[in-house]
Amino acid sequence: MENNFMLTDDLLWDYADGFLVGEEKIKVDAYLRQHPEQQARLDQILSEKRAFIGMSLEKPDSGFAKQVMAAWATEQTPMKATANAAAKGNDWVLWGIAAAFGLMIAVPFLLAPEAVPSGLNIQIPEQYIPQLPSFDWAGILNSAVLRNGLLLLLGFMGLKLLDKYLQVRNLHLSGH
Amino acid sequence: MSEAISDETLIHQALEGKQSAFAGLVNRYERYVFTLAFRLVKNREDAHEIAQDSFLRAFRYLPDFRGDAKFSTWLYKIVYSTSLNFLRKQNPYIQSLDDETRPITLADKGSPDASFAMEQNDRNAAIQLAIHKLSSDDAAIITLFYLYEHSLDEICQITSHTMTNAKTKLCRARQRLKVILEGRPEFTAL
Repeated sequence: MENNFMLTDDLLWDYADGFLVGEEKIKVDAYLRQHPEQQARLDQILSEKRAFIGMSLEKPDSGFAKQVMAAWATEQTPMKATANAAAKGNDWVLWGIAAAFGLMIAVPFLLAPEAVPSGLNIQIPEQYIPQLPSFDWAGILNSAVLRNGLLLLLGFMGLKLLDKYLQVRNLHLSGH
Repeated sequence: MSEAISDETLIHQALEGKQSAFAGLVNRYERYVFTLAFRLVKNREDAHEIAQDSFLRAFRYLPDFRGDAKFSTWLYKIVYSTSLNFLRKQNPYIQSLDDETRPITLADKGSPDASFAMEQNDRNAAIQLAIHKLSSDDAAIITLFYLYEHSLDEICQITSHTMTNAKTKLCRARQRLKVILEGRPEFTAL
């Protein structure tokens, strides 16, 4: 074994670091038993290893932990605000959507020709009738342009509010 | 490092939004994170910035930590990649933290700083100075293996090196450290 076995520093370090296993380790163990001077070298290497292990850690500036926590709190604040805004926004958007769609359903009934008073047969003393400019309400409300335009407008508002709601919801789910 | 509360417990509490748990993790690991960052970028100011950024990234991605590896391994992987990104920003031509082509020169031996430290018989300070002269990768691998007592397997997880590569790098880093510390009576065994 002695003729073809070279115990180098690297091998001794590998031994000290616990990288050698099996036959290789047995071979080094046997060699060390026969060569006390190599055992002494190993002891020195182990001493150096202990020095490496015992190296002191660098110390960050005082207040580092506080700075990290302050930065973390700052980072979280917009997230919390967004989440709160999203929650409030959700309520508002939901009510808006409900109102828009409610109006969409109600408007056709309100604008139905029979629902529009063409001539009221109620006797009201003249002094109680305010002198307001007269408009042709029946004509205006029965206009197809107005009716369809209003429906289109409400539909557009409903879709716009739905889009806004989905945006806020996605923002909330992504946690930003 | 107090082990009164385990990392797992602190992580669990942090995930529930308990701020003191985040603070507990920072207090526990600040010196380790800062030391590794300092070894890699070799500048205290930059190391502060990287250490803080690493903690914030770790907290941000804490829900993704599955516990397959130790928390420290996961955290140091973040420090390592944050440092690498930082160095790449400073020098876009950096491909890795390694310094394969840098020869081990006599100029590395016994600088005035190291001599001063030796004269003070401050072995610890001398080692710190010697490590500071190593390349970022060599310094990191020596620190992770000896100071943090991480296994080669864990070092591979942190640095994304292969096992063979990590072992070769550790051996080479030790040789470079040997050249820097050579000739000093305190380090004749190296």
